[in-house]
Amino acid sequence: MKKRAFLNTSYFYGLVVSLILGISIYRRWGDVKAVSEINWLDVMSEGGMVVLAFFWLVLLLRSRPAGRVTQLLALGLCGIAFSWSMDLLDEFIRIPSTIVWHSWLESLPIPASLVFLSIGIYHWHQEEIAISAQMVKRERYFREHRLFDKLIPVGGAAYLRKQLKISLNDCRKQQQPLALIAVDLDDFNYINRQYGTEEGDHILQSVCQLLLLNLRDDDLICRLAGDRFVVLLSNTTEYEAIEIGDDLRRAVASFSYRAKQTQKRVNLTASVAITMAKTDDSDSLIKRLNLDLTKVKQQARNIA
Amino acid sequence: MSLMLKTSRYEIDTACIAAHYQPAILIELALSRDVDSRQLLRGTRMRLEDFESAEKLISPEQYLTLISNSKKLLSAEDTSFLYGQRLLPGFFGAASQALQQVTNCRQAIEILCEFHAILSPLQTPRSYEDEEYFFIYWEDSCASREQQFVIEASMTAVISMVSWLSKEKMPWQCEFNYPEPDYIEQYWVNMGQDLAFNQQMNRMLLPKTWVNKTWPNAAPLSIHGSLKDSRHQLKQLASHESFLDQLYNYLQENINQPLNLDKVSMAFGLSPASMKRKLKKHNTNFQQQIDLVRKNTAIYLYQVKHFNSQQIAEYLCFNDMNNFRRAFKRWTGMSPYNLFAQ
Repeated sequence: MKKRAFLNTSYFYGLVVSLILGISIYRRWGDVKAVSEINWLDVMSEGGMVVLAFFWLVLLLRSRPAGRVTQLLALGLCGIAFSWSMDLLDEFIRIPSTIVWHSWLESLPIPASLVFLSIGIYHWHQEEIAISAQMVKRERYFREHRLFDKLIPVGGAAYLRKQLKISLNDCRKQQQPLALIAVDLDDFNYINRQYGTEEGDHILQSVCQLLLLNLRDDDLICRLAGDRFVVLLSNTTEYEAIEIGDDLRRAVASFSYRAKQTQKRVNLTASVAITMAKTDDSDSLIKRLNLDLTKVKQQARNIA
Repeated sequence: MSLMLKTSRYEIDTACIAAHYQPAILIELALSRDVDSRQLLRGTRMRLEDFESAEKLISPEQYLTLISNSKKLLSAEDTSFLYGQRLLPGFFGAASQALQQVTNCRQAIEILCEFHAILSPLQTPRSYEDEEYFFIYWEDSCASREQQFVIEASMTAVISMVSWLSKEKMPWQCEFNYPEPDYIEQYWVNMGQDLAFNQQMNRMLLPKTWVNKTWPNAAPLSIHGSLKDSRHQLKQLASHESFLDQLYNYLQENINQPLNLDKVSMAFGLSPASMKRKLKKHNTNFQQQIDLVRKNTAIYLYQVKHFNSQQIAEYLCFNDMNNFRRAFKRWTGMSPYNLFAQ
């Protein structure tokens, strides 16, 4: 991954500076223990905690965009990393018992960090709710990032199969109809050749957004492969599905996508196939849908 | 015969693929998907700066390492298919230009086969036909590493190029010698739905009516200029066939007479020991190669020449039918009767 703009190094600098400060304070007032005095079991366990705290911090800063939630979480983790490091330092440097304040270095940052962390997690929770609202129509019941498409933020074929299995079961129990719509851009191969794949990727992203806008909240859209999308419609009759399919086709046809370089409109059309679930399982249903789509495309070509 | 065999041939470690041809396309695809270039080129002994001079030649081995890296770093199911879509006609000099001037599908496939060292250096396409169908089948040029990726890319490349140049969707049928993968949807979208897995070879079929249909951008006269330049390009490449290609062709031509390692090595001007060493370098052995040719020949004789098992066995120098059946089962996993009944 090239885009690591989020990696916020200032947290690490701050942490390193405070660690150096902490170490020099310990060195100034304490004595280094002899090797025989060190309890290696404690060093291992406390060292492990420090390593873990740093690991969490790195993961957090590398994965999250900058913002208030990230700031709070990072500050909390920095505090925890600092106080655990001081705890570890205890194993190597003995502070004379006359000095009381050294334990502050260990124990003061902890409550403060936990407060930061808690506020951060609370806001994170709010943020998740907001994001989930945007993910409606793209995911259902549970999140599985490994099945998500790399290019376009919707599920891939594996996610569709999983969800279709669940929906098929539900619809059978409730005796409700279930429809699948396949949307396939016509001659996308030529678009890729003519405008380049980067433009092609962008068109796919835009078309996906466009299709999302034309769907109901309960519908689920996935990208099967290439330029082929599949929409899963639970509790939908054939008549309704045909209507929605027509809407999707018209939406693509009237979409005026402009190429980035030439600013000229790229004419897009889509072929749409609709299949109703019968007695078949998810795999054969998807297969049937694709065969129907091939037929639709063939017919369109014969007419042209 | 011996004259042909004395011409040079490329092997898995011969620097013979222009880095700015197929490898560059894969690198561009990976970089456009935000892959780190240093990780991508790890172990390939290539640098991005090498491309500026456009003179760097790399070996099939290096190219295969690049493919492994791309597969791992992109970790997407559609990498080979996206790559294939960009491969042909490509920007590989006169041969690519010739492909854009062809009159029909047949000529395109002929060019692909004749100039495969330029157009498809890892998988060698060969073609034949019967009354109904035109067949293209692919065999490894150098090694069977990453075979599935290269097959996916090569077949997608042909289908995508043919549909782009002919402006028509042709009813391809594709057969693969490996089991159906999880990401079958990618095959549907890129190759159509007429697919068969666990077959004897990696093969594409097209009804013959489509093969001779004239294409819109045909340039039947000016193509000869490009073809002449392509042959010149091939000569400069020093090796227009791989070692495995030459071995396959030799075995195929002489399969109707008794063959053994000593005889074939002699025809190649090699000692049996160095023949063995060369085959080992390509991850195969003499028996495997001769079995491959016999299997493909048997299928050809049955489908095209309509030989029966007896005639096939005789052609392949088997005196005993039981021997033949046993051998056939070893090559294909099936008895001749079962396979031909399909």
